[in-house]
Formats: sequence, C-alpha cells, structure tokens
Amino acid sequence: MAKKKNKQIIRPWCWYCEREFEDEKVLMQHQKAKHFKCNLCPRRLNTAGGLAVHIQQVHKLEPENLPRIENALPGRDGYEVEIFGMEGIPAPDVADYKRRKEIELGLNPGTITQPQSKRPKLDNRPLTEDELKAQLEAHKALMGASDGTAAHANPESATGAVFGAPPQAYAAPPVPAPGFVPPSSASPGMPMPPGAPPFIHGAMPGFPGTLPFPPGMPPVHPGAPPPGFPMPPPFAGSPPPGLLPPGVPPGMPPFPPGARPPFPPPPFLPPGISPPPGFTPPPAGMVPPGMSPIPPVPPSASMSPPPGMPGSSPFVSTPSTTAPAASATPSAVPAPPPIAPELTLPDPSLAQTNPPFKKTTSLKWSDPNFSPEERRGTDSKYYFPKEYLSDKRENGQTALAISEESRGKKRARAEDYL
Amino acid sequence: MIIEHLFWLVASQTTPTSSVVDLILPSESVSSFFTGRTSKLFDKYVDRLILDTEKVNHLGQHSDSISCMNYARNTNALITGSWDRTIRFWDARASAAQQSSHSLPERVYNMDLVNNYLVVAMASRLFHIYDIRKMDAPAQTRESSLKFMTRALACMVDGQGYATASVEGRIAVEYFDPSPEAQDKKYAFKCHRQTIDGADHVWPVNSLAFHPVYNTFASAGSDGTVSIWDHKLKKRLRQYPKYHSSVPSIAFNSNGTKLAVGVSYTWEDGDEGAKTAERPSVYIRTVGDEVKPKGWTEG
Repeated sequence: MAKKKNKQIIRPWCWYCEREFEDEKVLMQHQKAKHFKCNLCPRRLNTAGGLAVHIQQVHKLEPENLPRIENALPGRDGYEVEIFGMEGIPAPDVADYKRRKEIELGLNPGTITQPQSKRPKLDNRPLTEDELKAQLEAHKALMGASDGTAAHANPESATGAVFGAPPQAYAAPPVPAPGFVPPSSASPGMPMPPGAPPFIHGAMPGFPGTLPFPPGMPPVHPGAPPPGFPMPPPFAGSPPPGLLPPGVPPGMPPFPPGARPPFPPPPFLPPGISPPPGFTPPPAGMVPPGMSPIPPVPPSASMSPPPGMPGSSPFVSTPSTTAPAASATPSAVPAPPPIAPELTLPDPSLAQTNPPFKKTTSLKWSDPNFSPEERRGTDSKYYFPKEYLSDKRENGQTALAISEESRGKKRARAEDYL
Repeated sequence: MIIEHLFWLVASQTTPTSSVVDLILPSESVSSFFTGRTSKLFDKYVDRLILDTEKVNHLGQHSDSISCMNYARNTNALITGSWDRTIRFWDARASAAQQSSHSLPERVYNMDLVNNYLVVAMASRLFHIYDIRKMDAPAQTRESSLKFMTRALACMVDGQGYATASVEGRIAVEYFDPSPEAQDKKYAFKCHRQTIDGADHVWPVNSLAFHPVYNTFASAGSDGTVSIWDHKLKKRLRQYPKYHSSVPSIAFNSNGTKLAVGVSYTWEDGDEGAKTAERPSVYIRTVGDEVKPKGWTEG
C-alpha cells in the first residue's frame, strides 16, 4: 500500500498549543494532561466536550462559568471545537498550519498543502467508441498539422532536420541503404519522443473502420516501389523489410555520415512539383537497397496509390492544403465502421429455444441460437466485412501474413541494433 | 484481445487486434504450428506458422470464421471446423493444402479427436461422430443430451467417450459405443452455478480438458472457477478458487503436470460488459494429486 507522504512531513500536532508529537497516541496523552484536565479534581477527560460535561455535572458549574481550556493558544481555548487527537481540527486551521509549516521547513508551497500527486489511475477497460473517436480526432489534428508543416516547409525541414541534428547523429552506424525517408523527426514542429515508434498511430490498431487505410496514413509513397515489389502493406504500422525498426531515436537519421538525404534541396526540385508531402509518414515508400539516392519519383502517375485510397490524389495535387484540411481529407476516407448484419440462422428449421426453468434462474447466456463468440463477432469492435479480407487475400496481401511477417522482421531488425 | 482457446505452446504471438483462435502443435518436435486466426474478427484463414523462421504459410480459407482446429497426428491432417458449416482437412505439405471439405447441417462450435474418432459439436445441439478414415458420412449423429447450447467438448484420453458441456452449467459424459449397455452409462450433472438469494445463477461451461494420464477432466466456467472431476466415480475432486473473470479455456500440458487457465471476459454481457472487463490473463497452475482419481495405482 502506498504510504501517505503527508504523514512523514507533518507530524501529529495539538490544535490547542500547536505542539508536535511523535504520534497520535502521545498527542492524546498530551491533550489529556495539558488541556482536558479538570482543575477542580485530578480527573482527566478525553475531549473538551467531555471536560465541559464533567465540570457541569460533577462540579455543578454553570456552562457560562466554565473555565477556559488550559494552556491553549488565544482563541483556541473554547469548548466549541471537539478535538480528539488530530480529529476535529477545523480545516482552515489545518491548511493554515500546513502553510506555516511549509515556510518553516523551506518547502515549496503546495508540497504539503496539496496532496501528493498520485500516479494517474490507469484503467484497462476498453475505450468506448466515442473516446476512440475523440482520440483519433486529436491524433489526426496533430498529424494533419505536422503533415502540413512538412509539406510546406518541406526542404528546410528535411535538410534542416538532418543538418540540425546533434553531431552524434552522424556517428550513427552507416545503414547500407540510403534513400530512406527520414523518420518523422524531420518535422521540426513536432519532435518525436525518443523511442517512440515512428508511425504506429498510422495503423491505429483496433479502431474499427480505419484498418484498411487509416487516416493517419500517408497517401504518398515518395519512392514508388519497383515493379514486382509488392506494395507495402498500408497498415500494420511496422516498417517493411529493410527499414528502421520503430523506436529508433530521432537523432539517428539512417544516413551514412555525410550522405545527403534522399530529397534534393529546393532548387533541384522539378519545377511545378511540390515537395513530396510524405515526409513525416512512415517509411512506406522505400527504395530497395542498392538503389542510389535519386530524387524521389514525382508523386504522380508513376505512383500507384493503393486501391481505395482516395485521399492520395487531393493530397498530391494540392500540397498547399492547409493542415486542418489536409487532415480532414483523409478523415473522410474511412467509411463509418461497418455495421455487422444481423446474425441469421443458416437453417431456420433447426432453430432452438431454451426450455423453461422450474426455479428462478439467471442464465448467463440465454441466446439459444448464437454463441457468445458469434455475438461478439458482430460487435463493431470485432466485426469486419468478410469480403474485404477475401479481396485482400486474393491480392496476395493478407492482413494476417503481413502483420505476422512484419513482426518477425521487426524483431530481426531489432536484433541488428543490439 | 480476448482469450478464446488455450493450447500449450501458446506463445503470445498476438497483436492487439487479433486473437489466436487455436494453436495446434502437430508433433513433439516443434517446428511449426497452425493458426486459425482472428484479426479483428474471427478469421477464416488457415495458416501455418513455422517457428524457426517465423514465416507464415497460408494454407487456405473457410468462408466464415474458424471455430476450432485439431491435428490428427497419425495422418498428419489438420482439421478445421468453421461457422460456414464445414469441416475441412488440410495437409500443409501438399501444394494444394486443402484435402477435403465436409458439409454439416450446422455451424461447427467444437471439435475433438481421439484415436480415429472425430466428435463435432454444432449449433442447434447437434453432434456428429466421424471416423476420420471414412469422412464421407458421419459414423453417428446425435442430438445433445443437454437441453442448451453446446459450449465445450473434450474426448476421453482412453478413447471410450467424450464429455460435453452447455451454456446452462451442465456437463454430460457420453460414450462412443452405441450398444445400449454403454449408452446407459451416460449421464449429466450440474456445475458452475450458484444460488444467490433463492435464484439460481447459471454460468456457461466454456472449456473441458481431460488429463492426459489420469483421464479425469477439468471444466472451466464463466463463473471464473475451474473444477476437476472424476467422471467414473462421478465425483468432484477439486474446485480451484475463483479467477477474476470468466475462464474461456483451459488445457493440460502433455504430461499432465500443469494446467493452463485462460481468464478473460466471455461476452455474456455484450459490449457493455467488455467496457468493465478486466484484462485477460493466463495462469499456469501446477497440479497435484487432485487430478488423480481416488485409489489410482500406477500402471
């Protein structure tokens, strides 16, 4: 159990005389001896109220003639406040005492007066749809903003990030394949916390409806994959083979010392072609090892956006889109979470009904025709249109295999860095 | 993630959005295992994950979610059952992995295999018992002796019969032998229920597992308890203390010294319950003499 830190700083104290004590027991003994002692007889009472009653009943004194509480600070010698050890002390007095104590101890104001900031309570419950949506919106706003800045200030940000990187960035071990898109640390406005997976949010696992082509996903693959090279999976959130594992510190751009980033400085940009807005996004557009760092293929016809990604063309053609708009564009892409069709019995003639119970019974699963798993499968969090996956499978790209493979590769990659 | 089935050698190879439906270990020398997988849904793909290389072979697919899988060691066949009302046989070594598909009248919920008996439990309380060497027609078709939806199934290790359980806290012990004497031995009993304020609270029995040596069996329920039963003496040998959530799956390891207990929400209260569900966990419990029938003599 967590100990109350307060206790260690503030020791029990007596409200009447503001003396501190080792513990509450001693404090109570003190109060009995010093403040709640009857001065007419040797009797010691536990509280001021007890003392008052004692004096009135045993010594027959009128309430108005009660002697003040002995040894008390001025203003605290009355019977109105019922004090018992540390209990009963008026809140303003407690606060006041703590404040004075802080000053006395030279502590920062608030260290005692405010309760120790507790570790935020983590709850593991699944997020509700609304919470997920809110988080996604927040995330999109963030990503959209960074996309925008990257698209606008692209050359500066690209080179700037590399040149401006701390010197040890260049001491990074040379990675055999130049021509990677730098990790998201390139966008100056949004420093990536070290160790954060570059674009895990692109995948947004678990968010219904975003799986196919998540909104955070960059629409552009600056280096078009060579023919025959399967389009990298649009999700899975993990780098394709040969790319940096997530978690590479931002100060480590994957360029060999002195190597130029794959993006040419502004003057060399082909006229009319805006800098590829694919800076921040995950390293989806990758150049196979051995390919020289050439300027990226203009994000146009040569690039085949993954099917069903309408967000890509507006993005490319209007790079001047403002950040919010940019983020809004892809947000419109994912269809609302697919609604699962009502479960139907394949053979209605076999439909079951539960027999009645003789006693009052609470049956925890009372659906006679569908199992909990089938019901769960229609929940928006778990439901997925089956056609989509079949298509994927036919394309030779399974969600499954990809996630499985990329995980394996990720691990292999991580080993490289050990 | 929600735990559905536990098998030994369940590496936690799942992504947050997917849950492994079944993992099957085809042989003692572990080189690969099969997965029917759910990625966000209940997947219909059969894949083979080769452990050494972490590669995935895609063997094929069902047209609806796979609910259960078994591996027939003597014929090296992987058997999958699905809600698409088929069971399919697969051979991972063949170029066309799917060997056969057999239609059934209802959605397959559970399957278990002992020797050459393949018991298939379906929705609408139907049971088929196949001889896997003659899959063209079921050797026996039965209706469940339980009145409620079949929830779990496990075959006795001695090959005499099987135990099945329903959503209405009840377990039936049945025998393969169709002779009346053998069939007379079948029985059912109540379990995984509790009387609270005069009302019976009845939880589904989610999983059954026979002990590989002693032929006793364990049952797991949505009440969060796991019990060990001696089906010959019709006695409960032990009830383990309650787990924090439902127990969707249990499994003994191959020599029966340990029992793996998966604990996770089992959707009895729909998505409302999922919001307050505790996180899933897996417990490995070392079992002692409680799994031994009384008076067990070695050999």
